[in-house]
Amino acid sequence: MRIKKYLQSRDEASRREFVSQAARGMLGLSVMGQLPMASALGLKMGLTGSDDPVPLKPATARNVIYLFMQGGMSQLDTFDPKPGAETQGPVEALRTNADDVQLTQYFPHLARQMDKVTVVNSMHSTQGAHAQGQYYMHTSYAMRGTIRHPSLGAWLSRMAGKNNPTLPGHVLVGGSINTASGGFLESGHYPLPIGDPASGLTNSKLPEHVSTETFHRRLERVEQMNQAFAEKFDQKQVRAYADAYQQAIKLMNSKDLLAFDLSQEPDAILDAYGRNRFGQGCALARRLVEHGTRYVEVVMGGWDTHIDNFDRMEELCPTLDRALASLLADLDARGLLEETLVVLATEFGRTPRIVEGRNGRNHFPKAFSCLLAGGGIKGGYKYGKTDATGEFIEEDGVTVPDFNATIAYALGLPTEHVMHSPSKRPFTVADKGRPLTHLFA
Amino acid sequence: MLYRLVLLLLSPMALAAQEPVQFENQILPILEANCFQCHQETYTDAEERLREPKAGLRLDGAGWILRGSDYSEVLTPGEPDDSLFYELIALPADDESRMPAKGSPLADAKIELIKRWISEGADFGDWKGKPGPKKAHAKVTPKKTLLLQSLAEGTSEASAAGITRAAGTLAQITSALPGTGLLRVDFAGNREQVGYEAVSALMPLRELIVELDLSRTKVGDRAVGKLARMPRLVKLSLAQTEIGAGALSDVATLPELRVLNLVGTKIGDGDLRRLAKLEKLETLYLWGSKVTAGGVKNLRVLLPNCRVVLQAGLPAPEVGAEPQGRRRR
Ligand code: HEC
Repeated sequence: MRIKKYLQSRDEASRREFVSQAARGMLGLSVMGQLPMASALGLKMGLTGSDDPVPLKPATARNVIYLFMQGGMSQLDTFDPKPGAETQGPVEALRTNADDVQLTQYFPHLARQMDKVTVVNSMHSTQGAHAQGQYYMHTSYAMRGTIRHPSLGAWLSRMAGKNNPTLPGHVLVGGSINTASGGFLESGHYPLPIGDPASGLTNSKLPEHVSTETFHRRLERVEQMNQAFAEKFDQKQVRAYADAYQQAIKLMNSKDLLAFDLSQEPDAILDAYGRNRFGQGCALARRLVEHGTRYVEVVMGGWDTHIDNFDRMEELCPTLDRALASLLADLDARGLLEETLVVLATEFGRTPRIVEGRNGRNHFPKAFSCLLAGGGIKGGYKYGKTDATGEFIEEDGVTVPDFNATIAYALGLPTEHVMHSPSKRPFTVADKGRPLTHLFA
Repeated sequence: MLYRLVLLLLSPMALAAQEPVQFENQILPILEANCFQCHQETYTDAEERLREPKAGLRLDGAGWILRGSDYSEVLTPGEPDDSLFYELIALPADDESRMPAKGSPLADAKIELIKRWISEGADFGDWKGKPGPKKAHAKVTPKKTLLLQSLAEGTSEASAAGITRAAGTLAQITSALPGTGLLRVDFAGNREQVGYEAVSALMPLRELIVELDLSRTKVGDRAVGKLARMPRLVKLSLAQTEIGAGALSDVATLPELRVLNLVGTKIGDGDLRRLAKLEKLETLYLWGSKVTAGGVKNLRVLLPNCRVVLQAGLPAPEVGAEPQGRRRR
């Protein structure tokens, strides 16, 4: 009687949650969860989720550097070349230091790092418009008018907490807060947005006319007000606000602020990443992770190549090549790559068919490419296959939720753990996605 | 029910009950007309919207039908009552789980035909339809998790007092393997204040620490001496610290050490041979230390299975790029 189970499973969200809550209650301290346990002992461990601990899973990665190619990156011109096919246009394929993996001619530096990378060539998305596609890629849920879903960085912050208590746990370099958002989670899980990597954190020093002493007096007063306020309205939002405030103060007084200062890096390193916004953003991401920020997203725009696709590739790809190759090499040399998952994602791919007249490629959610590297992922590996023209997925299609579930799995976030929005609706990291465990070494 | 039975008895099919149902001629047309719209390979509909198979269930190939949905199998040959494929089409018309999910229910005769086809063993005949799914990939447990699981055996959980004491010294302590007592410790945010005292305070937890990050702290050889008593330490970072050769002798006694990070230390070629005892060492990071390629070559003789990272291999600066001065504040 399969149907009984089927009908029951429609109530699964609430059942799962009941089970996990019961387990938590029973195991109590012995779960040795993570930060929450420490907070139960009254230790100060950052501002996250201490009043509602999430039972974590074994992790292979601690950090994520998430590179988002905004606009829809052409898979044929980057990571899924089709040498000889008409759809390939003038672009040639390039061998790499991994036997099974080819790139296009635009990636000579990255070709020397592919032994660290898994290429996923069988991504497909349900969303073919930019805003919707970006949202889906970041949250695993389709955009709705009534609710905002958290992005992966916010889930990590909420479920696993921060590492360095003075640094923000989640940072966004370039791009907009609309996609990489905390969604319905408290404000403390939203990313700290940074516009220009070279200028780091602006406004983080005290204004000249405020002495440290006055500042502290003010702070105390705010504190008292906050306390009264928080006692009266013991709401998550209020507390989150107060926390974020505390956070900012700590950061201002901390040596860790230097994590944001790229001028601390040797010139040779900044040159290697490329003296442009994206390259410097990647260098900043490495610095932040090194200092204990756990999730950094760096956005690179310009991939919406409806017109003059091939001319645009000549500009875009070398920037990406240099920055990503440097990031992988730099992280690895510091021993950080094994605990940092580097992700390259985009909202969708582009049509293999070249649009005549405009020499461009249009949106194509049916088959595109993303990358994973480090953080326990296999190196020199290619997963999924498209046909000879790039029109169809032939093997091992990967949905957006599956891809995100794989990132969550690397971080030890339980994909079946249900969290409720303030409107009491149930959500999980990566929706119904299932992790691709065979991508792990 | 009775009504249905009567209908069935009267229908011409009942008379031909001996003839087995033929999938391709009798069942497939029903599926094409009533189910494919929602249960076939992803396609773009007339409004340019992408249609993925509902519940991940595809009915357009024998392999796919046998695979089932994203959640479960839907067909048990011979057992219609254990086959969602039948059970869901036989639900009352007003049940919200009834298939097809939209439109009117299937005619009773069609429902019975599908039931009979399943009872008879769900034979697809020669029909294959769209090529089926590849064999599912087996679930893999990452190497790192396996290693920690084996180390967790026989450990007891950390005493709360020990954790409190260690945390009092600025340590960030997290679980290295949830569900076990194994711990990861670092000092992010407080590194300048960490030296001998802080490391000593970790001693009550020494049996349980598997990862320890002391990078950019003020530890020296005396503090590292304390670490020699950590029987499960798998990963140790001493990057950018002032440790000397003496520390390496103590590090070399760690029986489970797999990863050692000496980036940016003063360690030189002559010191490396002290590490010879680390048979399980898998990765050694030496970038920015005083070690040279020659030193690494000698070490490879002692530790042939260890990956030694000496160079970063960063791309050379762009040719013809404007050299840019450093921004200083
Ligand atoms: C209008 C769209 C639509 C049509 C037509 C349709 N289905 Fe479905 N089907 C769905 C949806 C949506 C679900 C998932 C329901 C849920 O998860 O609650 C589903 C689920 C199922 C499932 C259960 C899968 C699982 O394990 O959850 C089976 C079996 C099924 N359909 C069979 C059929 C059959 C047989 C037909 C044709 C007679 C059919 N469906 C026609 C939309 C449709």
